[in-house]
Amino acid sequence: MTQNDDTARMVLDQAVSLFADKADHAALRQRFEAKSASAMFDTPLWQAMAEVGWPAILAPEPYGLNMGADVLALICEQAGMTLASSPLIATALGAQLTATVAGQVGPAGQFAETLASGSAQACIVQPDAASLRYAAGCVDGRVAAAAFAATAHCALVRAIDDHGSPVLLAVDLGNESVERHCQRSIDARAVASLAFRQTPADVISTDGSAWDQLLGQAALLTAFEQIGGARACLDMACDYARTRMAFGQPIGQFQGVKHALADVYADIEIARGVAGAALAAMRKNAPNVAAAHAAARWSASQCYEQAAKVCVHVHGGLGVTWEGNPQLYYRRARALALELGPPHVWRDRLIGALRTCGVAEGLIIHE
Amino acid sequence: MNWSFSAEEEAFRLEVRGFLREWSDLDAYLVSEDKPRLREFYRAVGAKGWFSLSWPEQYGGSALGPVFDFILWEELSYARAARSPLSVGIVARTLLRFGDDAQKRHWLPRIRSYDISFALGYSEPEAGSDLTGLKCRATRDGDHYRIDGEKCWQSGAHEADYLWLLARTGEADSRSAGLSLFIVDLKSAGLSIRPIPLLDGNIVNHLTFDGVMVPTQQRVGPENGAWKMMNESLADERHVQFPAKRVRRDFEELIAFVEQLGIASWPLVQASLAEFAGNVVECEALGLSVLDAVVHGRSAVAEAAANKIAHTDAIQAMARFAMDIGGREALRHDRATLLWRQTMTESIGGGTSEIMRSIIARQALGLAA
Repeated sequence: MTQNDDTARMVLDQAVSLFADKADHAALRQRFEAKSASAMFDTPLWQAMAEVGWPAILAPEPYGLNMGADVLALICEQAGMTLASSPLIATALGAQLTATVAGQVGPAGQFAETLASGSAQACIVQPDAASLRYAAGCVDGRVAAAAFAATAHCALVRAIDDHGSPVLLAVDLGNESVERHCQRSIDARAVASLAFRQTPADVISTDGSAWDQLLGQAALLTAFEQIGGARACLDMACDYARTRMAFGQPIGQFQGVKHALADVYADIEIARGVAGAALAAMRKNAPNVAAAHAAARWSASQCYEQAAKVCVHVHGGLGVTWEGNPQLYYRRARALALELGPPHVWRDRLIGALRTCGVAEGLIIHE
Repeated sequence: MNWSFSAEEEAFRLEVRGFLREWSDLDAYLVSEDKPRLREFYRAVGAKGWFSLSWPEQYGGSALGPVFDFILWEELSYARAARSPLSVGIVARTLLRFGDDAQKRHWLPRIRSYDISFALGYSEPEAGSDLTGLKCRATRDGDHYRIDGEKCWQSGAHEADYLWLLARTGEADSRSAGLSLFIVDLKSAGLSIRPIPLLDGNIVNHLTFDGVMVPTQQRVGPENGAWKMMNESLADERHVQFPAKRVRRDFEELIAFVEQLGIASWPLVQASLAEFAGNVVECEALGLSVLDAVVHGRSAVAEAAANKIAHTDAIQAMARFAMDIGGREALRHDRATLLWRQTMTESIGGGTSEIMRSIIARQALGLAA
């Protein structure tokens, strides 16, 4: 066994026990009714994750642990299984990105330290086409509902500069020029819309592909969260189908039920394979990495939503009660499928990326 | 099959639409939370004589064919106003067929005017889709029955006046042959009601009966004779369940939503809308085939099950598409998120899609389990 495997096993054990302790479904339900931004955020969960250093996993030293996306993916899968709701992915990626420019740029440079330590959180805000403009060190414009925008300290956004080129920015959401409007949504994800008016922003990258890379990495890590959620739905539904009796037998013996569950199993295995391939592509910086990210996103989104729907159906009435967990997974599956852009957008990205790297190459990674 | 409506029927449709204009604020089809206003509405519908369109004249009805009920509930669903109350559905239809004269005289006028409301007491925590496994027991005790046990998933039971209760009067293993129907006052001593909120904001209930006493004259039909009555009465209302006009309304709201977003011309949007337009027409055709069966006294069991699947699949696909295409704009659009949550409950309540498929296989295809 390699040292990497040891690390992975240790982090996995840590994740299992942390989420068992902190992913509190009763508190999650309460956050749907939150009246204030702070009440929308799971502070005890975040503090526990910060204490064990997870926000620092991706960032390079001296800010972070530089442990790589594979380790974070394990945590994300456990988060998905337990419905833990946090901006961990955005924050870990934010710490990694801001570390690349720490010391070079203005106020946002300090985010490398605060994001990695978990004392600040980031959100990834995907603007509608060209809705944000960047000029003379400031960003202007509005963005619709983004997850964790209600509570994050730093927004990672894409804007168009005065030459018409895309730039990747870090925006300090604590600046008084930022307007936030918290919104109730289908899930407890601290959703808010943002309006920037001459808000100071720091350029993290002027490379046109930087935003796509960030989005692709976030989508891949989210894919693991989705796979974890799908797995939890499958386990929950199978447990119920084994014990719930109707027409003289456990309902899991009916083909209408067990075949639907077997399909979910197959979907999960496919999604897990595609996501694993995307992690490998990212590690090797393979030419097909953009296609691999998009494929992982597409596959995991489909699989989680279908698993959540089947789980609701297998539970019957219990599946749609507020008190039951299946509806929470059903909501989370939909929220995660929309947050970084809806399925059809990722289908288009996948097709576009495959055209670039060559359809024949597909997702195969050459050693 | 007749695919057209008579002049008289069309005139009735216009009358219903005219009436609904005064109730344009009522939005209780998806979530029936606005109770005082909803009760006021039902009483106004009752005052028009529309809850008893198909009842015999001797019980205050108009003795009209099923097509008038069909038109009424189509229009009410299109207006998003309200659903058919259980009292005028299964309760009244069973009383008309199987109630004794005293029961008809006592209950029907109050149902027709909506002075009283009913909740349906069939499902239990351990028996939902398979009602032959019911355990809630009614034990004869002099001129009363004593009810003990549990019921679950009763829509509106926390606010209704009476429960239309299916309980076991036969031996524990008597399956469908040991069930009887009762009318139970929901304010009875020994009855506790715990509301259970659902994903879409509607409320169902968990009921616990601890020695609830029900007079024998509130048993409907013979002891142990409920099963046949239930099946025959269900056949009387299949044509008003899952009206296609609701699907059409969802479709029209989707068109308005994409127009509001300025994306109606996207090829993806147009292709999807074309598919949904096909779904709407399919639901309308299935609705008419159910109606046709009811009009001609044929069993519409399989047609109604197929209609429910088509109906719920269509509205779920449209709701999901609105969220996909609306992106984050849809997340803050209350209607889009409500429809997404509400349509999920439609493929569960009234029999899951899985149960519907089994019904079709058994009834229409000769493929018994």
